[in-house]
Amino acid sequence: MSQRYDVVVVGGGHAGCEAAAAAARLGAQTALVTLRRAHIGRLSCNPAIGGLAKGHLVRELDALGGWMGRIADASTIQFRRLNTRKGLAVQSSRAQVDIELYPSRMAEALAGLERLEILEGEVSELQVLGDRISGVRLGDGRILSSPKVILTTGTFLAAVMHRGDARTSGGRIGDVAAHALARSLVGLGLRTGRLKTGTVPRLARDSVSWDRLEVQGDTFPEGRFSFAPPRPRLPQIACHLTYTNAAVHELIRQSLHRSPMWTGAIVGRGPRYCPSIEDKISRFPDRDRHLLFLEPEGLSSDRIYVNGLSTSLPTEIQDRMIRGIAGLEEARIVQHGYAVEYDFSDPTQLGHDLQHQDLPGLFLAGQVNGTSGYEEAAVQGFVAGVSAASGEVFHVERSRGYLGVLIDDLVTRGVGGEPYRMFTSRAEHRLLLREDNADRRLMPRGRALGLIDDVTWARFEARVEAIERAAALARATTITPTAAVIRRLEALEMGSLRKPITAADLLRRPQASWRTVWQLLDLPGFEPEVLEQVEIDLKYEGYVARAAQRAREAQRLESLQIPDPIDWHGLQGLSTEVRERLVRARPATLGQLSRLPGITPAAVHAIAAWLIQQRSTQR
Amino acid sequence: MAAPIVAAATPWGRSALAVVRLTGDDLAPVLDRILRPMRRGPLEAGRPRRIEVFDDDGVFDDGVAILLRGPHTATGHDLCEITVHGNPLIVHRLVDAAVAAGARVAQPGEFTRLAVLSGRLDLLRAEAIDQVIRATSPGGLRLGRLGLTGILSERIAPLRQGLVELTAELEARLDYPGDELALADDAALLTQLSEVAAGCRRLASGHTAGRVLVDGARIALVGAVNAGKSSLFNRLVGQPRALVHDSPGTTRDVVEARCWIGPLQVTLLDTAGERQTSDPIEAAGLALALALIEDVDVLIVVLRAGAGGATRAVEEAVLARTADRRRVIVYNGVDRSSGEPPPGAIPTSALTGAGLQDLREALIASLGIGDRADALIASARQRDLLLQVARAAEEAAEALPLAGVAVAADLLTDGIAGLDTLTGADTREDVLDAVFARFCVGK
Repeated sequence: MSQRYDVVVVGGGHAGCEAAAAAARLGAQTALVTLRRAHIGRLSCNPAIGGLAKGHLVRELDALGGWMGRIADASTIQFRRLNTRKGLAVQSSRAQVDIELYPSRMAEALAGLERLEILEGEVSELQVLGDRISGVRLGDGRILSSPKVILTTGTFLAAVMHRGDARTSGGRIGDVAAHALARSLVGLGLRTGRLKTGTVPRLARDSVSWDRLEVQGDTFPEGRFSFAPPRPRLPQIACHLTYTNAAVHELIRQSLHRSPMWTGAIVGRGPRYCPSIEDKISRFPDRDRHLLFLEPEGLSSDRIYVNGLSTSLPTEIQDRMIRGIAGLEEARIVQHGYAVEYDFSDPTQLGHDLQHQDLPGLFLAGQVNGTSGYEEAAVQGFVAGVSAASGEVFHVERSRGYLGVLIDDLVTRGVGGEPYRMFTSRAEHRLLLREDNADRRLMPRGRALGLIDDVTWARFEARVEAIERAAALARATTITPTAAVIRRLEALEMGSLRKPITAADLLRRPQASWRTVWQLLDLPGFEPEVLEQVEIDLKYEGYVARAAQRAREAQRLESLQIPDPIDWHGLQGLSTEVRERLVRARPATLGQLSRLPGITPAAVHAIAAWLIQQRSTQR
Repeated sequence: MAAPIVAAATPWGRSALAVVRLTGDDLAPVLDRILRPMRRGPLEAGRPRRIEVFDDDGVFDDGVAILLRGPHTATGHDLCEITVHGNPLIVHRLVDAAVAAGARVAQPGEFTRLAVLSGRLDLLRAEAIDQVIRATSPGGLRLGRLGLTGILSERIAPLRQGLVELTAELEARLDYPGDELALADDAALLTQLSEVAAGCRRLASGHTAGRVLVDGARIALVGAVNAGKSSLFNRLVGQPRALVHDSPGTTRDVVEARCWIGPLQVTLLDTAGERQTSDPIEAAGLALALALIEDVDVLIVVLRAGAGGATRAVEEAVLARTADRRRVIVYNGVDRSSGEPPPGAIPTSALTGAGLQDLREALIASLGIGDRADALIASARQRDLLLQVARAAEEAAEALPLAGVAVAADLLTDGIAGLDTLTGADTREDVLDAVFARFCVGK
């Protein structure tokens, strides 16, 4: 009994949803196999989408035609803009979403796709014919034939959950682990490693003393991820703040020997950027308190997510810990925190399309590649889905998008011992890669794929045209230094004026904003988003030009192709270790090679010289 | 593969011995056609052997050869050193024989370049080797030796560390805005930035001293006609090289001679004196002198003791024109005039030799080579990179309050890259590691 598909997606998390949606929308007959249909698109950890650098990923994905951004917008119950005081270029968006609505809207959207079939079942084995993938076998014996299989199994491969000394098999509370598939992958020769992650306790909403807690400010209710026409917003809620204290820290310190990470029960390394409370307290003994956010899981949900309190301590310690925190004295834990330990597949085995280099047809995307985060998973799913369906590598350059940085880091450098999370510091061209210009960077690519609808595209074209018009206006409008103008400039702390300058020049001044300049000169109206673009473009013009220059220089390294296959043994003077790394990593360009860990600039020069020499002797 | 290259490692000329070196990935086909061990058995790696060298016309000398196997050689590739008798005829014939056997004549510096490319030598040490070979003074030799010990890398390490920590601080502000408690204030950041910039500038400022220690200094005598420049020149050189006469305008051409001033090898230039002239030849000489003194390291501005009127006016013009140059002013001819030297000028007499020792010391001091601690770099590449890093730190300090953290962090990343280009280091994960070590970061 066998069914045939163009693409089979294994797993219904954030990577799986984007992969299946992209593949089916590009015309591929697609199957999505999930352990439980009801768990499609779940938010296993915190009820939020976006965040620093992650907000960039969501906006980029939206510009390309992915779904995470618009579904998050439709489920948003609180929206914030982060880094607003660090300069316009590095702002990120973060949305609190309704943990029930997000998955159900994702499932609804998937259900509307003509070429997508959603199947419930456990994939137990990959089917291989010759040297390439031919499909998957399910636990009940069914076989799904397909030349392309996208694995998006998240933390489910050989997963073990820990809490105190209690261990349970499973990748998430209420879900089983995928042991048979993990064995199948090892049997096929995939290099795997072990990682861990953790989650926080959830509290009963009515057990928290809300009136004694501080409300988190700085929300930005009009904010959205998607570039599509805005839809009505759900009612908005508030999050609250509280802090740990010395007594709680002491309790944790006393109990460290009962935390599985400390007793050595967990071998996988955890993320340094999202440390457990155990980690925070032992690494920073001088801190007498740590900030916690109390985030409602939804409009009608009675659960509260305690952001900042990831732990795998035994349940009774978690109970005492919570009751020691201000405002939580009466709080009830409805689900305790736990740690998950799971297998990941080394992503350096993959090409830039996330296809396995030794097993054509097999794609891996999401947490299974050793990343963390819904957003990182979703963009990988999209890249794998588009590449699998189109048969071409969907490649975004590092200088074009955070998702390009993410994929390139994964396949050239790997995850380096802890789950990989996106940071703005990982993007060397980050002044070019802003959330606000994600559409200008990437929407033409999404449109070319056919994943951007006419209405959204028309909106984009109008916006680009308006930005150009407003910028031209700013360049053409002159301000003359009359006494009245000078008085108003000085009142607005925008400096003085000695000779006539253009509105563009004025906007370049650090203290000037589009609001003040447009008001001062009484210029015709534009959408705020349009004028914001003009201001950012002008203010960062010099820096952006320099960054663009650097990006072009980097591109030169990228354009030096390395032949495949290549015999690295012909190159003398390289250490065995470096040579082995090259053999394993198979960099396609000198740029990729230069980013491999342990490759010194001297080695890059030597290799460049050698490659050029090779090429000339071959000719 | 590196094709075999060959070159004489010792200078052209007659000597007891001369050395010819070959390097490449497969030397056997070349060696088999130019040398054979005098006893039976092939050349073994690492063991010196008595050999005969030959070409198509037969054996033409004997000597010693040692073959070393890459990659643990000076070049990172196989390396053979052949010692023969020091006659250019023999050396020439041996190099020719190697070329006939398939080797290529090495370009200047190619052996060292191979060493750098194969990772056997970092760039700073390669430059130090060059300095050891080029040094014209004991100080230059010392500087080259110091370079080989890696002292420059040691001096750069704390500057780099400072930049890494500053970048980590800025990155933390961008990626973990919730963790405000651990962040330093802006004033402290700006202080640290200016310290790093100053550190880079200090190292860069040693460049002139370092360069003159290695390559020697060029010093020119300038001044009005008949001030006694040529007499001083002859005194400093230690022999009458320049024509001296009482009539003004005797020197027309630029005269050049080598001499030692203290520990420093110096090329001294005597130039035509300045005055209003209608003689086209004298005017041309003056123009030539003005062009030549553009790139000398120090000027000796010679004032004539007791000069008056027109000469004083010319002298004032010379002083004004050279005000921003490194210079030593002398007041020459104190033996025959009772005039008062202007403040800062050294009274000298070319006739009696009075004040000449003071002049030599002033020249050394003006080049900064008395202060040995700062003279650590001798290459323009090193100086330019250090200045570039200093500018990046200064621009970051400017950008921080105005253009924001991301721009400042970007500039500092450029700075770190500059230092890494300088030393050839590669530790790109440093910034993230520093972030994680210092900050308790949440989601």
